[in-house]
Order: sequence, then structure tokens, then C-alpha cells
Amino acid sequence: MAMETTREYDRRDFLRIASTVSVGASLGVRPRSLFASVEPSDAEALDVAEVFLTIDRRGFRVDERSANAPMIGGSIPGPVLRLREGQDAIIHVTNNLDEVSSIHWHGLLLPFDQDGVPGFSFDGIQPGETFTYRFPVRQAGSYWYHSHSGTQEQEGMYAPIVIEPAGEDPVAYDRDYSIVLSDWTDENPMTVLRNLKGNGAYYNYWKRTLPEFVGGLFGDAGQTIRDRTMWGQMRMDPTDIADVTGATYSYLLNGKSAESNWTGLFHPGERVRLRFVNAAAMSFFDVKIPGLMMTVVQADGQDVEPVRVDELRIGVAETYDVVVEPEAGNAYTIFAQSMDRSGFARGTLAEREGVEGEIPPMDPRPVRSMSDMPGMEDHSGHDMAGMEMGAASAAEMSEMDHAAMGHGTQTAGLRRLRYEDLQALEPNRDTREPTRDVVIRLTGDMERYFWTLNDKKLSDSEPIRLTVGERVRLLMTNETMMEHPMHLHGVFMELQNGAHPAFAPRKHTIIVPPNQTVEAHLTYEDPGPWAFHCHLLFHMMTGMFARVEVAPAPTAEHQ
Amino acid sequence: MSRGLAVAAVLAAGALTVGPALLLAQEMDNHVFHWTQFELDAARFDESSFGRWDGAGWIGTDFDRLWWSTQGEATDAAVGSAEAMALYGHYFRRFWDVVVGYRQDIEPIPQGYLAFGVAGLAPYWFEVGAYGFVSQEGKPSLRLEAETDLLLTQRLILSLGGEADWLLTDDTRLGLDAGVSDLELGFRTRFEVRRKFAPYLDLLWVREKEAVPGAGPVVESGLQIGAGLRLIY
Repeated sequence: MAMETTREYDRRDFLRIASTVSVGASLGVRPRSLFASVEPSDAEALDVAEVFLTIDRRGFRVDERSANAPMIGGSIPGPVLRLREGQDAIIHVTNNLDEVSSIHWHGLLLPFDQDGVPGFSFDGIQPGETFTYRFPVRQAGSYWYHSHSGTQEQEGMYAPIVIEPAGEDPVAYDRDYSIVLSDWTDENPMTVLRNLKGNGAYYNYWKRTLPEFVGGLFGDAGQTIRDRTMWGQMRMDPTDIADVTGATYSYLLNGKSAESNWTGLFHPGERVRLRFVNAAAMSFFDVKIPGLMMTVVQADGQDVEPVRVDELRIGVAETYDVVVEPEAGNAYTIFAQSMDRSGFARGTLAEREGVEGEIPPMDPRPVRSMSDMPGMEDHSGHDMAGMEMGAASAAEMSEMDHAAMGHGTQTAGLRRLRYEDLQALEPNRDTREPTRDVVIRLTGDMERYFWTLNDKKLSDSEPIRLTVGERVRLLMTNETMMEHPMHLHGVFMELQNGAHPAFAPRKHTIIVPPNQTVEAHLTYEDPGPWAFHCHLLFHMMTGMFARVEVAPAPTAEHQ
Repeated sequence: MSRGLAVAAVLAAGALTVGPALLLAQEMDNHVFHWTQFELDAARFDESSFGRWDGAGWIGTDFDRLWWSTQGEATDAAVGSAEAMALYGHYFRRFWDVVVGYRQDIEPIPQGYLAFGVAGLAPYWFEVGAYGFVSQEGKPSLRLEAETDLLLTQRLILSLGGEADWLLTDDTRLGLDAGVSDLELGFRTRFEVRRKFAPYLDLLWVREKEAVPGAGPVVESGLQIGAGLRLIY
């Protein structure tokens, strides 16, 4: 069980033992310095974590389908990388593929040349070569790592990172599991992209039909016609929830299909920490564990004020840590349905292997409303009272999103995590008012199937130029019909969600819903060229990507 | 400080430091893709049976593409009509390409044309092409195509469409006078076994002008039915 640790002795010591064992076993880690940590009393001796990773192409099977896929450490997902805040990480990555590869440490603050983005940080890892990453581990929390080359991430190159805090963990738990959600297909990802280029709705088998239209005419004819007319005029489709769907994807939980049922064990009375990572290329998930409330304790690796919820939406590349307290005699289903309800991943929390919880039915498929249309006022008329935020607040967006997506009714009675619920546990270091606005419009053409920032692809855009220490207000306005999980490398974005700015949650990836503006504040501490992109793989690949050039602080330059 | 200098160097001359990889990262978003669709069927019109083909496709980036198409009719004995067209298309605004290129009629009367126009997706989901042609003898003509899909189910799709060819002047080479020379309106029902494999049935109302030697243009019209297969690669 590579992803399991238990609190048998001191948890932190045991984690290191477990990491030695699990990483060593599945990765070929030479546990040189890691071995030092095996002595439980010697907790502070481990100031260097040296890890050896290999990238190989191997067969991978999901139910009836299989493909050869590049993978890290011989598995999908790759092995959990366990580090401790304050360590120096030395990670040797050997590329045994016949193509260039790379590994990006998603959410980690590190020097730009260790960030693993070909063209930005380095030239990539050439076939047969070993690249050694070296960086100080400056933070704690749950993150993940993945290829930043071509379509390797879709194929299977992703894995979780768990960083133990240097001090005491504010989260009390007895056992933790990384839960890596992903989408997998046996189609070549470039074929998937080509299919979308030929037909933007290639994978949408949930479109509105003529009989539904006729049925609508017998109901409210005027409304039906107005509705169809509006969507028709815009050349947009209210059923376009996900570009790539269960028509080709199998949704995986820790590399296993719903049928294969990944199982995590617990002892009754334990507090179990689940470290959710959405490593999918194109899929958002709505996650719930029927019978258990989830206490959200971390978002994107950063501790937050605990929030108890029944369900949470995890955008591509986001992470959420939750604590659950399963009870004796039950098997619980971890149910992660894709946002478009074209399929689900599931796993089980149980006291022993081989038992299953009940699998809930999928919720109704959402349909977009006209308020999702770019340039449209919000006509949906849902209640906005009680929210004192401007039109640009993430909370409102989140609310609108839910209403628009029909969740208000579908999950009635269920408490669903919203961005406005997130509040940093520790105050932000920099609470100055921004002195610089960076306005980014999220743009694209669903029909031609390419995506852009401010109407420009990376290849014909100018870099966004910032300076270390500069306080920046990032305004992201979504002019498309899709949610975009926007990932900024090298810094945390403080999401202005209505919480006091000092406690704005720090995120590496922010979902920007259709027809909404999200505001985040940030201060770069590390100079460099950094990547900024939509984390939907095919959006990034077709141009929804910008280069952020952060110049060293002027004072440093003069000395 | 050395890190600061390294950063400054990368920022100042980024392309030099990480040149090939950066270029690769940038080229990725202008990758060349291609798309090919072929429809082959057997049709019946005016008590004669014949085969029809209609192929179209493109190769290129999102902004610049080579569009090609070919269509025609043939019996066992002879090719009744055949044309091929190759157009360079540039994406000039959302949903639309402006195109320019060449069209070659092969049958019944070989003739070359300069072609230009716009093609794209009009409001209400109509795939539209509007083209102007100038024949090798300088005769202008127009063509308008439009098509939209109505879903009976997710896989059973009713496609409504039409095509009109309009000669703006008499064309002595073709032996046709000015006016609408060809008109097709109709619907096609296809079943998408897969997106790329769909058998279909269609019913078209066709009005054709034909040059009959010695008698001038003769108009024929009526219903044409067909059954065939759509293949996409």
C-alpha cells in the first residue's frame, strides 16, 4: 500500500520510514539519506531528501482497455513523494522515454530553473538523460508533480507530493491517504485533440435534441423558442460542460477504475486524512463520501480554517485535504463524479479489503444557463442577498456557478464547498494593497478549438512583466463558456473571495467560472520566467498560456 | 545574487538560454492538424442510378489551413460530373475563414476557376460557405452552401441543407444561360455508429440545368434519393 501511512509510533517518523519503504520499493529510490530517518529518535537529522525517479513507457490496463503510457516509477499514478519542510530536496529524474520529458512540482515555491517547465525553466530532460532537481522545501502540505511535456500528463505522468510541516501539524489525524483523481483514455491524446479540432462537440453525447425541443414547445413555447434562439445566435451549447467526456475517458482513483475499486483501510475511531489531488487532464470532479462529512483542512496545500461539507468540487490541478471519521461496521464509497456526469471514479474506505459501500447514483447532468454566456447579465434571479461582495467576487461566482449548473436543487440539503468558505489558517505575509493590475481575459474559440489569454496564444503573446516584491492584483475575466482552472507558477495567488484579505486563501490554481471575474493578489518572491496557463491540458496546448517574467527586485540588482 | 544574474540573463536573452525548448513550447500551440471526411453513396434520380461522392477536409493550423473538397457523380459507364477545389483559408474572425484558391471542373465540361469566399459557422449553427468564382473565360458565378444538424437522438442526426450555383452571366463554354444553374435542397439522416462512421439516407429536391447539344439549356428537377456511408479520418 504505497499511499498509506499509519500512526504506530510517532507519525512523522513513521512517515519517513513508510516513504523509504514505499518510495524505495516502487521507485528504485536509493534511500541513502532517507535511511537516516529510520531511527525514530533522530527526527531532525534528515535535512536532505535525495530521491531517484525514473520515467518509463509501460503497458497500463484499465478494465478492458490498455495503452502504453509514460509513467513515473513504473506506476500510474507515480509514487507519493514525501518531503519535510526545511529539507533540501535532491531529486534525480532519469528519462527512459524516447521523447523529451520533464517533471513540474505543482504548487512548490522554488527557483525558476527547478520548476520543470520546458522552455521556461530548462530545456526538458532529453531521452536517456538524468536531470537533478535541487531545491529547498519551503512549505508544507499536499501537492503533486507531473510532466509538463506534450501530452504525457494525460497519458499517466502524475503523482502526489506530501510535505510534512517543520513544526506541529495543525491538522490532527491518525492516518492519511493520497487520493489522486484522473481521467484516462486508450486513445492517443493527440487524436483526442485532433477530434476536438474537427468537431468541438466530438465527445458530447448529451446534447439537446429535436424531440426535447418539441416537448418544450408543448410546455412553455415562448421560453423554449427564446432559449433555443439565444443559444443558437451565440453558437454556444448549454450542454457543453466538458470538452472530453466519459465517451472516451475512464475516471480513475489512485490509478484504478470504479470497477477496480481502490480501497483504503481504517480502524474505527481513527481520523483519516484524505489528500485529494485532481490530476486529470480535462475533468473536474464533484467529490462526496455518502455517510461521512468531510472537514476541509487544506486547499492547494495551504491550511485553511476547517469547513465541514458533504461535497466539494475539485478543479483540474487543485488539491483539497479533508479529514473524515469513519465508523465501525461501515464501508464508505469515495464518489467522484465528473462535472458533466459522464462517469465517475470511486474508491472505498473500509475496515478490510474486499468490501464495498453503496455506490450512489450520479446526480443529474448540469446544463448551462444564459448567465454563463459571455457578456450576458445574470438573469437567473437566484438570491444574492447576504453576500456583500462585488460582482467580481469568487464567492458570488461560485454561488452563481452552482445555481447555473443546477446544483442548488440537485444537492438540496447537501453542504457543498464554495470558494467563499475558504479562509487561510495563517495570515498572509503580504497584505499591502496592490500597486499593479494585471488584467487577463480568458478567451478562445470552442468551434475551432483553440484557447487563448487576451485573445493571444503563447506563441504570439508578449510576456507579462512583473518585479519581485511588487504587489499585484490579478483580474481574470472569463469570456468563454467553460470553467478554466488557471495555474500560476512560482507563487501563491491570494484569492479575494470575501474573506479578510489577510486571510484570503492561497491557491496555485483558481477556477474561473464562465462569464465571471476572479480577483487574486500576489507578490512574487522568486524572479524568473514563470508559466501561467489554464490547466485543462488541451486548453494549455492550444495556446491558453502566457509567460510571466519576474525581474529581480531593483535593489538586489544594484548591489 | 548569482541566481539573480541568471534570471536577468534568462529574462534579457531568454530565447538564447532556453531557445529550442521555448520555441518548441510556443510551436506546440500552432500544431498542424488535419481532418478528412468522405461521403460515398448510391443515388437514384429521374429513373437513373448512379454513385455520388463528396469529400472534404483540411490540413493546417488553427489560423491557416488548406481546405480541399471534391464532389461528383458517376455511373458504371461514365463520370457524369466531377469537380475538385483547393482553397487557402485564413481565420479572420471568430467562426469564420476567408478563403481563396482554385476550382477545377472535370466533367461534364472541363473548366478552371479562380475561387474566393468565406466559410464558417453562422448563427443558429449553420455551416455556411459563400463563394465567388471566375471561370477561365472570365465568367463570374456564385455558390452558396448551408447545412445544419438537428438531433433526433444523440446518434440519429437529421441534417438539413442546400446548395445553389448561380451563373451571373451566360457561360457559352458550359452552354448555360445566366441564372441558377444548380439547386439542391433536402435532408439527410445519418446514424453515427461512431463519430467517424455513419451510414445515411438522404432525400434531395434537385433542380439542374443541363446543356443539351443543339437544344440549349434544359431544366430537370425532381427528387433524388440516396443511401451511403460517411467516413471521417
